[in-house]
Parts: sequence; structure tokens; C-alpha cells
Amino acid sequence: MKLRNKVFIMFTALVLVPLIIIAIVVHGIFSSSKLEDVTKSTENTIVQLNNSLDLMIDDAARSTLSLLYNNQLINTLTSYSNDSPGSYISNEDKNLFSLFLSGIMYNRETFRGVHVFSNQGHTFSHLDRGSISDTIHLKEQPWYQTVMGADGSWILYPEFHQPYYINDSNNYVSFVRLLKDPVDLHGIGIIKVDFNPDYFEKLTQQMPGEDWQIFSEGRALFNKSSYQLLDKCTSNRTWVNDGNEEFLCLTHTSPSTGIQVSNVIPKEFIYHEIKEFRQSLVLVIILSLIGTLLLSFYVSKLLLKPFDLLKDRIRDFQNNRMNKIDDNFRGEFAEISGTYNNMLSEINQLVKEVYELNTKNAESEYKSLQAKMDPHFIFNTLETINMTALSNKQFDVSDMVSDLGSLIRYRLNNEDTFIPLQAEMNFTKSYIALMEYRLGENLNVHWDIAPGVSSFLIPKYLIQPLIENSIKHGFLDRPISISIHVKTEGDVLEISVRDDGEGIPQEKLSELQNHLSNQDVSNHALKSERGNGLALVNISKRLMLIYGSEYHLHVHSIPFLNTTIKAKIPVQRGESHEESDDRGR
Amino acid sequence: MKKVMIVEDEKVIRQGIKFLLEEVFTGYQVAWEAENGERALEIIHVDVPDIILSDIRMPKMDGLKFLSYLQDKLPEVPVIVISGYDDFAYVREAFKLGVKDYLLKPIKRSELASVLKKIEKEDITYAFREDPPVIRQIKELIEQHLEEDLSLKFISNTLNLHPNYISQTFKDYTKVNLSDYIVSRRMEKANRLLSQTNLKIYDVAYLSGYSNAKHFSSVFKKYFGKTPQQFKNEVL
Repeated sequence: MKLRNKVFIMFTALVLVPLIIIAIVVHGIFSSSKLEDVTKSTENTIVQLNNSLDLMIDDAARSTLSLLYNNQLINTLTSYSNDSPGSYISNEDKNLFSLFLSGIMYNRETFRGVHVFSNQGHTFSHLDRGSISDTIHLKEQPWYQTVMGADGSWILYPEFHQPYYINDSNNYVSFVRLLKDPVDLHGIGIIKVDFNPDYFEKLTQQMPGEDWQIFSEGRALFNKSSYQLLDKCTSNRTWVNDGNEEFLCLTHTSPSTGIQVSNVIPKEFIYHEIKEFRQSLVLVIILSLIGTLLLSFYVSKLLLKPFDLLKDRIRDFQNNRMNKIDDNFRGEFAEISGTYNNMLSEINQLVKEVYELNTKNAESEYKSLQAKMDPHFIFNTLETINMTALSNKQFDVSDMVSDLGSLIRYRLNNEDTFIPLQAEMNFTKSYIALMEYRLGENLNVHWDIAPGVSSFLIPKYLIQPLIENSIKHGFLDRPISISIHVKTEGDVLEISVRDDGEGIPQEKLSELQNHLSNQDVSNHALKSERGNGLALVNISKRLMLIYGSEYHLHVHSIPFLNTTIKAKIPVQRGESHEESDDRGR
Repeated sequence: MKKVMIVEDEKVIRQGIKFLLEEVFTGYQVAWEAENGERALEIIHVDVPDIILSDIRMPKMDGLKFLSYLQDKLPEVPVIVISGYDDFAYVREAFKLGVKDYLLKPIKRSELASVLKKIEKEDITYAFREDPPVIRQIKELIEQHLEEDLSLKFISNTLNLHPNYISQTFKDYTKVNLSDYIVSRRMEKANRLLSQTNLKIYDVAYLSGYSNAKHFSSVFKKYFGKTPQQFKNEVL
């Protein structure tokens, strides 16, 4: 993986990972504390309610028992036990109870009413005849069995419509107990308190929502369209499920009255705020992520700019473009760039030395060749031969001699590495002319030169050796045709030599292609060697040395059919001449 | 017939060039041969060649000095250098000293031919330099194509001028008919060839632009008052 990407990822992770961990932790803390808050506050409310209920019940208990401290009341009530139900109640007795009960009712906002019933259902109350009936069917009351079963202990009975009230169809929660004679413990009657619903209203106002219920002895006191959940809500701080949603069950049972107050809170309600918090947290993280990504990206790019530059320079170097690192860097990178530049200079120097050494070698070879050969001697002798031939009307011989002279002159003249295409063509034509004399009809050469390219500069000895190669290796015992094509494609000059000779077999062809594109710089370049393909390799190496590794020779061949050798070099324009000059001819 | 001086130290080469100029190209006569620069200078003091062909790397000669002298004393005489020496700086100097061309040994005879042709053209232009452009064009064209068909149609096509315009203008200026002029030029050439070469009559006829030797002879007789054969005999 690229270094820059590593730095980028590292940077991003370094920022994001702690951030996410913190976010998770904060979220956890927040949600649990929120949960605790809600739970706690509701619990408190429940407990408070229960406490208030305790007081209320306590008060009712005492009030109802207070009758048993009054003998007169006891006796009066007892006297009605044996009368038949609905029999007449004397005013005296009525007033007696009325007084007593009114005393209980005085300033008690918790009671709506308190009534005493004889065993036969005679009703004694603080209310007058217009508000309450004289008698009730005790045994038909829904609470009768439960009250008798409690045998003197009080019971709380869920709200319902009390039949004895006239013009009052409200539902009341009642507190009922059997009155027992303190002496002989017989039941003498029943005392019933109807609690004031407004008071309950006041008490339960603080409960959050409507999902609460008060139970006494397993009976729900209020008629609410509450969920069955509330029945399921038995232990505090548990979760109950109605099939669709989950609810938190909070419940408290009074240790003194046994009354259970329960409340269920929908999970969604509790978590509503937590959810909002979580959403904002996620948003913050996403924004940080984006911000961090951008920042990391730019910072890593900035930090690693020197390395990118170094990478580019090294790549340039591979493509034979020796560029120095020329930015001013500080710190470690200044060292690296300095060392690199030095290394580059040294390499340049070495290459120059090697090249110059080779060139000198070649030059001295040529010079010694020249010294041995003395061109003046050669050319003059050739001219003598030329003129002798002419004098004898041997015009063929004259042509051959002057072509040979051009060739020798061209080869001896080593001053230029680049010459106009036209000069190379002329030289090649001299060579071809001589070969045509020798091979006769067996050699056919065809030129196909694009217009306007004659003055382009090309390396010397590019085309003629290719022709020589074609003749040497392509020629069988039958005539060989060679065609030479020169054209431009954009900035590239394409020179291809194609012959219809022997061709190159597949294995040799791939081997040759490998050698042609192999950049290994050994000292072959300027020596002439014998051997199959070596001339081509030399040319290819020269081209790569001058122009770069992409500019090697291309060879393609179909055995026994044809061979094509192609050189592509960058266009180099020279001066264009109206007439070609005589140099080199 | 142009008179040529060859300056070259090797005899075989001199002979070869002489053969080339006189027998192959024709129209040239090697009137002077010098084996070295001194001899060449002696000749120049007395005679003026039409063309000088010279090697310039011979013993006891400073080639460039020689060329400079020629440029000074005989500026109108074209000089062609034939040499084995191909140093670029040296060749450049030679051209600066006015040589018409610098041929490298062993020379290609086609190259020598084209230089000579170039010189011939320049001479023609020089000869007719005082004529108005149209007349000069016509005369040059005629000189170059004496051997060939010189119909008015050919001239008109080549010069892109109307035939009537050509014949009218020519007559007005030279006071001579175009066809008469052409005949006279041909006859002059025939005269030269007969007196200066050994060519057979039919060759001379051909080179003068007459494919039919008999026709040539009658025109010749009419012009000179003798037959070609008689003329030839008299010269020898």
C-alpha cells in the first residue's frame, strides 16, 4: 500500500477511534442516567402516592373504629340487628348516628360519605333522606362477602356505583369493615366510607401519564382502560411486554396497607430523549469523519510531497531523463534530496565518461584506420581507376568505382552522429547500387519516402545497415525485394525496411525482440561484430541510448515470407536545403 | 566549343577527364593541361580559358591561394574543383572563393555533367543579357533544344505565350524571322561540330536537330554554299 495511504488511514483512525469510543461511553452514561432519572422520579411519585394513601387509609381505619368506643352507638346498632329489613328507624336513633357521622365528616376532604348499615340493611348516615335511601340489601352488595370474610379487618373496594345514593351515579372507591362488638365479637353492622374521587384525582395527578393503577388485594381500584400490562407489573424495575411494545414496570407496595401502586412507562417514552441525543451524537461523528478525512488527506499529501517528488525524479531517471530535485527542503528531506542530486551528478559524469571513452576508442580506431589507409591515396587511386575505365568507355566500371568512393568517404567521415535523412539515403543508395551490380536481377529495391522529410536529422548508419542486414540474412537463391518506407506520424519519424526473404523462425524472433529492447549498456555499441542479429542489436542500443528505452528497434517476421524491421525516432528538424550539399558524397 | 584548362598532376586522370569532355559530353576542348599550379599560372598569364577544372591538393601548391588568385585575375572564368580532400572547413573556403562546384574523387560523371550544364546556362543567359526578357527566354530555349523539335507550338507551350505574340515580338526586335533564326543557330552548331570534332555527318545532322541527313545537307548547302562533306574536307 502506498505510504501516503497508510499515513492517511493512520491519521484518520487516530482521530476517529478515540472519538467513537468516547461517543459510545458518553452515550452509555447518558442513557443510563436518563433511564435512572425517569425511573427514580416515577418511583418517588409512586412511593409518595402510596404514602398519602397510607395516611388516608389510616385515617379511615381510625375513623371507622371510633364508633366502637361509643356504647350507645353499639347498642343502638345492635338493636336493629333483629328487626326486619326496612323497618322503621326512629328519629332519635337517626339523629344519634347522624351527629356522630357528621363529626367524622367534618373537614375531611378525603371522604365523600361515611355510612353505617345494620345487619339487616338499615342505613344510618350523615346525609338526609333526600340523598341516601333508608335501607339496602346488604347481601346483594358485591363487597358483602369480602367484608364478611375479612371479619372486622378493613377492605378497599374498587370504584363502582353505590346504589344507595339518590341522584348520584358516580363511582366511588370504598373502605368497608364489619363492626364487631368489642365484648362478644359478634358482627353488629358494617361501616362504609366512600372516598372522595377529587382527592384521588389530586393524589394521582403527579403520576406520569395514565398508565397507572392502584391495587388492593389484587383488585384494581379504578376503572381504567389500562393495559393488561399493569396486571403483569408485579416486580419493580422490570420490563413487561404487550406483544408490540416494551414497558418499564414500576410498582410499590405499602408495607402497612398492602396497597400496590403500579406504573408502566413505554420504552419509547423513556428512550425518546436518549434517541435524540444519539442522533445528534451520530451527526457529530459523521461531520468529524468528513472533516478528519479531508484534513488527513491534505496533511498526508503535504507531508509526503517530498516523497512524491523523489518518486517522480526516480521514475524520470528510469526513462533516461536525469532531472535534479530542485525544491528547497528542510530537515531530513534536504539530506535525501542532496544525496540524490549528488548521485545523479555522479551517474551523469560516469555515463559521460563511459560514452566519451567509447567514442575516443572508436575515434582512435577510425583514426588508426585512416592512418593506415591514407584516404588521399585511396581516393586518388580510385579516381585513376575511374578515369581509366572512362577512357575505355567502361561506364559500368566508372559508376561502381564512384559509388565505392562515396561509401568509403561516408564511413571514414565520423564527425557527425546526426545527419540529414537525405545524406543517409544517398549513402544507402550508393551501397545498393554496388550490391545491385553484384547481385544483378536478384536484388530489387523500392523507396517510398514521404515528402518533406529529407532534411530531418537521424542518427548516422541507421538505414544502410538495415538493408545490409536484409540482404545478408534474407537472401536465398531467389531474387529478394526490399522496400524502404519513411513517413511521419505526428512527432515520430518511422523508418521501416521490409524484405521478402528467408524470414526469422519464431524462437529466434522472440529472442531477438528481447535483445532489441534490452537496455543493458555494454560496450558493444561502437564495435562492429559478426553474427546473426548483432548489427540490429547495436543499432537498437544506440537508439535507446540516444532517445530512451521506448525507442528500440521493432522486428516482425513470418518465416519464408517476409521480415520487417522498424525504427521509430522523434522528429528532429534540420536546416532544409534547396540542393543537397556535396559533403559526404 | 568551350576551351577548358585542366590542372591535375596525374596523367591518367587528365586523360580521363579529357575523354569525358571531348568525346562523351562533346562541345568542349581541353586546350591546356597543367601538372601543377606553377604551370597553370603561366598558362593563365597568356591565355584565358572558358572553364578551369583543377585539383587543389597537389605538391607545391597552396590550393586556396590559387583559387584566390583566380578569383582576382579571372573573375568571369568558372572554376570547378576536383579533389580527394573533403574537409568541411576547406570546402567552405573554396566556395567562398567563388568556385562553381567542388567535386570529390572519384567523381561521378553525372555530377560533372550537371555542373557544366549549369555553366552553359549561365553563359546563354549572359549572352542574351541585353535582350528584353521575352526575347531572352526564346533564345535560351532555342539554344537548349537545338537538337530537338523546335516548332512554334513547342515554344508557345513551353513559354506559355501565344504563337502569334512570339513570332511578332521576335521579328520586331531582332528584325529576323523566328524560323530563320533557328536555322542559323543550328547551322552554327553544325559548323562547330564539323570543324572541331570527328563526328560523322549523320551524327552532326542529328545533333543539329535534323533527323534526316539529306535534309540537313541541303539546308547546310543553302546556308554555307557547300555541302557538309566539302566543308569537312576543307577543315582537315
